Amino acid sequence: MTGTEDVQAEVKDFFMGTPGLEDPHPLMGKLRAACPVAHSEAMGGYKILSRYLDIVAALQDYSTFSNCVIAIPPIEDLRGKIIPLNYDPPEHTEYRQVFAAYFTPRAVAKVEADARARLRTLLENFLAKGGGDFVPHVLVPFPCVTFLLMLGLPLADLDQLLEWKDVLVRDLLSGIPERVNEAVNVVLPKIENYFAQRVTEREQDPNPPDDVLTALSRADFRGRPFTLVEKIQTLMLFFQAGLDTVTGQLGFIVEHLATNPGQRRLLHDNPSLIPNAVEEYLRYFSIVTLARKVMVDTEVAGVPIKAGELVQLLTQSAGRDESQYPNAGEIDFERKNFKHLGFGAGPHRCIGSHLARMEMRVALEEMNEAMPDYALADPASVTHHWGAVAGVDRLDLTIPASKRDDHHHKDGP
Amino acid sequence: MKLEIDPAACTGHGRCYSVVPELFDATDDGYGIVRAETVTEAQRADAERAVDSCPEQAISLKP
Repeated sequence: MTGTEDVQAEVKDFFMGTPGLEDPHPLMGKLRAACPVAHSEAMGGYKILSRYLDIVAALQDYSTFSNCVIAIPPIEDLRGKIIPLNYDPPEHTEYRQVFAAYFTPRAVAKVEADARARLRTLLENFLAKGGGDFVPHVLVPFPCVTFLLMLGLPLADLDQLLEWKDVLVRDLLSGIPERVNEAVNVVLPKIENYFAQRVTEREQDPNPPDDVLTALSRADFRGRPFTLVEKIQTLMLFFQAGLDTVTGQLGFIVEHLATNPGQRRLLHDNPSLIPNAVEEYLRYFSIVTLARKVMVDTEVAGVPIKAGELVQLLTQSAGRDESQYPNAGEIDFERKNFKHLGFGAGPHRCIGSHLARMEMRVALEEMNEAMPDYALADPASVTHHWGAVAGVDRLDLTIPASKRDDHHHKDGP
Repeated sequence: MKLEIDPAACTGHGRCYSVVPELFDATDDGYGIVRAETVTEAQRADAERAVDSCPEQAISLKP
């Protein structure tokens, strides 16, 4: 077994956003085993927590572990706090309450049929091409279209939003000063202007639909209406949290199913397993790496952490913590314990979790129907990014010719 | 047995009412509530499943 000092030496400059970083899971296993509170000197320095119980405790203890910093590297000036993400209780609780009812399983069910129909079209177009890179053709547009439907924004805005999203995803947490500067000072203002325009239009709409944008246009905080800046900063959360997260999560899922035909067939023959499979994938491939700022001197696993220090919470590691899950390294759709931190925990539990779950379930259901068989065109071409939100960069799929013919025949004239 | 949700700990993951809708319901804001405080021996396995599914350890089952 590797000693604490050896593991610490290995993570001395660890940064999840390092371009070309190889699969960090083996390293996370070493951290859990021998170095539960590690220290990285990268990006100004931060502690790294890797065990399930330490991470859930930090997420729940919001007065010690503040959300004023939520990712590594921290961005000092992000043109104002994102609502409600960057706030701690009690402000956080009051802001969040404004939208809670719009993101429940019941509320999300209202956009399911529409999202499913849009996904079917994306899959049909992908199959008509005979395969290709699944990321830009399906995995990127599907969550973005669902986001527009959910909020009540025009679908015609999709291409513009995708262009901005790509810049933010690539640059905002890159740690490269000129790129961060461009994202913050050029792209963010454009998105702010866009949101200001759309929410103002909605305020003036005499017959507004019952959706998130309307709720936001009428939102109150502590007995006064939201300011325009508050409205924009709330939309910014939905925008940044709802797009590349589901894309990334589905990327890992589809890659796994493409390379494990037995489990793909199991889901195909037993679609009732799909909701469990989604949870199991959220555990095994948790894609969001969180961070917090420590507000008072504290201690985790016997290691002191000082006020002002940043901690990184490796939820990806929590999902494979052997002390919580038997055979943590195996993907088992019939696992009994599918509790996980894929959506975090504590007061900041992902408000979009039910939307994300619906999107992933619908994706697996529709792929079952439209493309039961597929494989990686070239396993060597599949690369991943880790960062604050992990994902698959490229996922070239081949569809067996006979299945393509079936598809054309079924949907033909 | 008595089945309870600690409302201070519940953050609306919605696992309980998704996994065992027979025993749990949702508030309009998506928080979990128990349908009945008292559960029978026959419902024990389902109740324990909900306890194990809650990421906040907000659900308790007591004799």
